[in-house]
Amino acid sequence: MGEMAAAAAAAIGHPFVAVTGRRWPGMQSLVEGASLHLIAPGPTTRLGIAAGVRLGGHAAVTVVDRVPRAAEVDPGCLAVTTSAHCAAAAALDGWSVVQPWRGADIAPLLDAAARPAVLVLAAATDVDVPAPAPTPRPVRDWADGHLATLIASGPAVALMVRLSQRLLTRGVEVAAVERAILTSPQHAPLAGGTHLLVAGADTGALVRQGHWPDSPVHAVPLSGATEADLVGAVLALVPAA
Amino acid sequence: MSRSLLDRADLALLRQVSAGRPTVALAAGLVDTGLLQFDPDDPGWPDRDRVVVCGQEAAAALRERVAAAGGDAAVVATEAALGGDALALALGAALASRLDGSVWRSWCLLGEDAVDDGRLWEVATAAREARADMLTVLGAGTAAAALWHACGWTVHTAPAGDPAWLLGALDHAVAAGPAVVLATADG
Repeated sequence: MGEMAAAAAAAIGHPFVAVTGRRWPGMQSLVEGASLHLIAPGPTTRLGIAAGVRLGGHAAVTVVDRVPRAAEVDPGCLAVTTSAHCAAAAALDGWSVVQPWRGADIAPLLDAAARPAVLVLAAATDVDVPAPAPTPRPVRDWADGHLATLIASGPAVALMVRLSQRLLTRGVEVAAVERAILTSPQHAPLAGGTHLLVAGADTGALVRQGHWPDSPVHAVPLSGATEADLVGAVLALVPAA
Repeated sequence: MSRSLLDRADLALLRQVSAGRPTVALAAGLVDTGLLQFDPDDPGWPDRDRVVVCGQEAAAALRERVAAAGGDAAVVATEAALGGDALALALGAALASRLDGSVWRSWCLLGEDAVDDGRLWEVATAAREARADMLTVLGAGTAAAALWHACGWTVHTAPAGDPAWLLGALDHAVAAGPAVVLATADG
């Protein structure tokens, strides 16, 4: 993996800017190979910053775990991911997906690939790419009532989906499951219903009762907690209907 | 900058052109003073400043002032629909400037509604952390001044009808970035 990331850095050419989130597992060599490294939240924001670098006449690469539709991004985009799900979704959304078998293949494949392109760097590339996981429905027209709304970002999205299923089994009706960019609780949008469950990749989980902003907040640390701990803590705070 | 903007600006012209309108005053302060570095005869000049503009009124103001200076805003500036997109582009350009030895600047001209885009503040925070000193934002209205402060930016405010004040603010903003100059319609 490190060798592949280093080869990717060499293929991109110098100087270049790497734009990543706070975590970039397996990308250390790529980030270290960049002349500048910037951490920014959200794949759309990161891709926008990278487009600005290109506007300034230099190369940029963005580390992502999901991508917007190709039509919505700068056509010169080059993103890098280690997520097979991200790559499969990107292919469906109009991106070129480049999955090299060895480091020496990266440069010629990138040269040949139409942009925007996603370079997939994975420890084992000889595996079938699974179909993308079903994404939560981006619902905004939820009904007011005794309902829960779940909002999550990054890796916490999958956990929130599972949590919504647990809540349903307890008779708590889930009004909406929404993906959002969350780097702090303040980034959570307003939501109706009686419960707002918020989880961010780095910020922990929150359970909010009632309407923003007057309701009390109960924080459940996500970092370091097991999923069972988190789910248990949330369920303890959300009474069954 | 060896000479201040005040030394080289035609204040009467700026006052007449802007007529107290924030976006026009900001665009005029940027273009008519020569602060924005571009060459109408060499649009692809590598060391030209990059400008990203958001908002119809802001884009129209910039088009007008660039045209008056003999340039084509479609070449000089990049338009973005949302404030977050605009600032992300401008931040990226500022990083590219650093790779070039910071010989050119990145500007972001925002209309009044651009601050309604929540992603703008994510990018503003990232710009502060990146110490993007070659990035300057010009914004209409001071409603979001506290948010810029909260994101760690240096905020300068000036009435659009007072070009001397506005140019002083621009002078300070380019001296230490990332900084924002907010122009108000009153005064």
